[in-house]
Amino acid sequence: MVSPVALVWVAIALGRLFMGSSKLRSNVTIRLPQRRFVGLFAAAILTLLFWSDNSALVFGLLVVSGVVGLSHELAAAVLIPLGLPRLTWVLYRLGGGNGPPAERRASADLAAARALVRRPSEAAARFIERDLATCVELGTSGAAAMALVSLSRGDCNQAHAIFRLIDTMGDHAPPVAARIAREHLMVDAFVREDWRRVEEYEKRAKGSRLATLLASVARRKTHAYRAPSTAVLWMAWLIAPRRRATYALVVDALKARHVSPPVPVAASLEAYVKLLASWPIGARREDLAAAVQSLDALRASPAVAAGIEKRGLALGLTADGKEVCDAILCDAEEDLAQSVLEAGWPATWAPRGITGDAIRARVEQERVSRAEGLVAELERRSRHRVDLSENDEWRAWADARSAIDELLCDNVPPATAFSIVFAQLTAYAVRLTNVRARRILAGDVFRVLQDLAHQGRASHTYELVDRNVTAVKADGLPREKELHGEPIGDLSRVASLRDVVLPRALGAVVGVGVIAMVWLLAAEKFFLAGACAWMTFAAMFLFAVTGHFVQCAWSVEGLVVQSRRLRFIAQFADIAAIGAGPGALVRVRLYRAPRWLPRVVFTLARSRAEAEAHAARVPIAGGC
Amino acid sequence: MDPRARLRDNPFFVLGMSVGSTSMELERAARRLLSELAVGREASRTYSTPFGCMERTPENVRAAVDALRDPAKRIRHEWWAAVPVSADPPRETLDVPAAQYARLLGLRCV
Repeated sequence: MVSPVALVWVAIALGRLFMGSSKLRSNVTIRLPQRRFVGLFAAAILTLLFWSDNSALVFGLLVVSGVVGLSHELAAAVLIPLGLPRLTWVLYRLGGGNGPPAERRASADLAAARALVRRPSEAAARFIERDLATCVELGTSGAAAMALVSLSRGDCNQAHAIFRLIDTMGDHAPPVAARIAREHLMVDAFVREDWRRVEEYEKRAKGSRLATLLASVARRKTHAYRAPSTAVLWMAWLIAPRRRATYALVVDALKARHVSPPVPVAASLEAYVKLLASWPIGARREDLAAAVQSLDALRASPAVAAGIEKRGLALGLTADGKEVCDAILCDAEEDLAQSVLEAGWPATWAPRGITGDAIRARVEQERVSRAEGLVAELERRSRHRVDLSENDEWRAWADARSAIDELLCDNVPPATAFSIVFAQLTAYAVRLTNVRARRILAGDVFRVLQDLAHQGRASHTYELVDRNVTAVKADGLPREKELHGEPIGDLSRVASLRDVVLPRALGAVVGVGVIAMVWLLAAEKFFLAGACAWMTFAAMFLFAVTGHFVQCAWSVEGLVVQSRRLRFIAQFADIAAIGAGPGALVRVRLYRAPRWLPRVVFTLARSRAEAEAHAARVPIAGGC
Repeated sequence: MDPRARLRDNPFFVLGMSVGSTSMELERAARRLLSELAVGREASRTYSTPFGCMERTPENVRAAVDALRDPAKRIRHEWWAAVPVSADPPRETLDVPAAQYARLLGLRCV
């Protein structure tokens, strides 16, 4: 006898398939429970059933349901530590992925990338890249996956730039991606002995046992306020992962060691040399202050200028000793400003004074011009329609955002920063949203602008920035009454049938068909159940086919594809093929499409000849 | 630009001479170093700076002696060359943290 529970499981699967095929025309986003929760539910029921009836079929279904239900946990506990990217990817896809709907697909690639860095291989890296290339948008999970792929190839700078951006996205990033980014950044700061950043990341990485241990070790090493006791440190080590690797850190932190005090301020270069000798690893704010104040002391010392003048005369120079001294100190200021810039320290770390003010001014000027340059480059690319691959686009925005954040750290007024970036970043993000369909990346740009507008009290832009942030949360561009560009398909003659009558009729047939099939199978009326299954299948097939009908138009940016709800611009490179027939039908196959749009869509031209003309003029650039 | 470049590439450190050396002594030292580098003498391949030992090449020896011919430039280099040097090897800033980074995160790359 076929178990009714198993049939319920089949019915759920068919229901999901049916819901999936209806995504094109539904005005309501149907939120089904995630596949792995359904798997867990089915596994729980099947366990009870197996308890009473030791059937092999029930056991098989129980195993399948269990694997689906615990797919993510299995991957995290077994496959990722073993470094098996492809199997990890399969298991994650089986479980439906995690995170927001737009990120679920890329979350499987992120899991695979986590396995990849455990056991790097170029073939697996390419596999992840290929799969991500089929996503219409990388999203935060995809960007994190690409960062890990870069890391597996040894490109730490690229990886950390993306991780920094993900870290600044806060709650808008999926928790897994945010946790990975934070852990990597924190470990990087730790090994570079950047204790200030270790503390910062620890505050944000709530609940991370590794972060707690590293922050405890950092506090112990620097003898900071609230440094943990020996017992607390060992406890943190005990509960942290990778105890073998972290044991040496704890032992090292427990050794009695005093942090060297900064060199006392004097009219000499000792503090300056000490700072640069320990730069950038291990250099502290106090070291910079001592170096700056020592240069001030040198500047104020009449003996130094007199000594230089005397030596100048011996070399046959007639220059004033004070002038030469100032030129030398100017060189030193330049070096210190450069060290502040390269290490990413706030300019406010330089204490007030002649040298300190000069360093602050140099650093601020350099950072303003860097931010202006990066933002102008983003705007220039959007104006000239020069698009980068999405991975490079994330990197470009990560650099620009980091430059803006550094500006704000240097006490540049938010109103000034906002006026520098507002118009250019808005133009950039609008193109990202409207043309490139990169809504997650654009969302971050708009949120930065929103924060800056509110901090800088630019009240005249509140409405615009708030509207942009809201608009980018939608699944796609809103439907237009009249498509701009050269139209391909005209569906007006079948609109009412397509949009209203057919979906409801087919939906009813499928719904009733599935229930009837389950009931008939349970009653062992196999012939009727088979007939019902065929009828349901035929209805679903027709439903799916009609769901693929869209309106299309050529534009300068690509092919505009408009469903009943939303609009999408497929870039020329994203069009795999266009075919004509039968009749006036035009078939469009896309390499990439958003979640709400099938990758194969149909439209109706006015005539067969027109359909063939459209198919013949495909400006395909070779795909992704 | 590396903020340590000014001290690291100081001509007096490159030539291994004190600030009180005469022009003649500097020229002679440069010629000696160039010939030693040409025959591959081990001791001439490195020079001491405040940040540890650096590699000496014929190009930076020539650039150093050129820079010291101009008295206006020389007086500035002399001022910088007054700081004490260290004969230690230069501090590793990349490999050690990278290895530790990978170990802490359980990575087999980087």
